[in-house]
Amino acid sequence: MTMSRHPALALCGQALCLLALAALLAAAVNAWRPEGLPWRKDWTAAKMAAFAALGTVDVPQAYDLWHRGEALFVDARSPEGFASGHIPGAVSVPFDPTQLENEERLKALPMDRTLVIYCDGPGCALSHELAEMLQFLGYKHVLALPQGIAGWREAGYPMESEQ
Amino acid sequence: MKAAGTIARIVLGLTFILASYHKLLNPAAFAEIVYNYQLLPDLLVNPVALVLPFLELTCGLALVAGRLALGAAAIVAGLMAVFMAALGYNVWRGLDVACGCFSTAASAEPMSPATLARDGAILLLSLVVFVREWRIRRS
Repeated sequence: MTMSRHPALALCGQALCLLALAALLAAAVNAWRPEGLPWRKDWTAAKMAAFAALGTVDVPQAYDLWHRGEALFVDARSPEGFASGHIPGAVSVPFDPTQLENEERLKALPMDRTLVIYCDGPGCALSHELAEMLQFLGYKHVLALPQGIAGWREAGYPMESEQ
Repeated sequence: MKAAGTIARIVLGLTFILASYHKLLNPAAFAEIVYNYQLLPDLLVNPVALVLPFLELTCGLALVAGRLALGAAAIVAGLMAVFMAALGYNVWRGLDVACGCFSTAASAEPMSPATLARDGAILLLSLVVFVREWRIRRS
C-alpha cells in the first residue's frame, strides 16, 4: 500500500481487509468456542417450537407473530365484543362450548397456519376452551394468548374496530 | 489540531472496542437481539451476530493503532448509519426491543430518542475521523 494510491482505492482495500479479518476471526473463534452458534438457524421455526411446547404466547410474542404475519388471530368473544375492538386481521369465531354446531364453523379455520386464540383477558376461559377444542379437532398449531385483548390493548398495540 | 484529530480517532476506536465486548462474550444473547430487531431474514441473523462484533473489534483496534484507519473509519461510519436507521425504524414503529448497542442484557438499554442522539454523535465523530484520514491520504 503506497501513499500515492487514490484514497478511494485505499479505502476499498482497507475496508475489505478489515471485513475479511473480522469474518476469519469470527469463524475461528466460533469454531473454537464449545458453545459456538450454528451459522444457519431457522429462528422462526425454533420460536414456533418453543411456543408449541408451552401452548401459550405472551403479548410481546403474540405481537411478534402478528407483525410478521405468521399467525392467524382468532377472536373467541361474542360478535359484539369483536365489533367493539379486536386485533387487526383477526377472525371472529364466537365460541360457546355448550353448542356443538360450532364445530362446522371451527373447521373452516385453516389447518396449515398457526392460530392464536384470545378472548377478553386473564379472567376469561374461552380462549383456552377454544384452543382445546381445535386441538381435539386435529389442529396442530394452536396457541392461546392468556392476557387476551386487554393485555394487547394495554401494551398499546394496534386495534381495529367495526364502528 | 493534529493532536485533536488523533485523539478523535483513538476515542472512536475505543468506543467500538467497548461496544464489541459484551457481544463477543455472549454471541447467543446478541443473536437473540439481532433476531428481535425483526429486520433481517432468519438465515442472516446468526452470520450477522457472529461477524458484527469482530468487525467492531477489528475496526476499533485499527482506529486506535492508526493502521488501516481510512477503511476502518468508513466501515464504522457506515455501521453507525445502519444502526441508526434500524434503531430509528424500531423506535418509530414502537417496537420495544433491547438496543444491544453496548450491552447484551435485555433490560439494560431500552431504546429511546436519546439512544438515537448518542448514535448521531458517534456517527458525527466517525465522519470527522473519516474526512481527516481521507485528507491525510490525499496530501
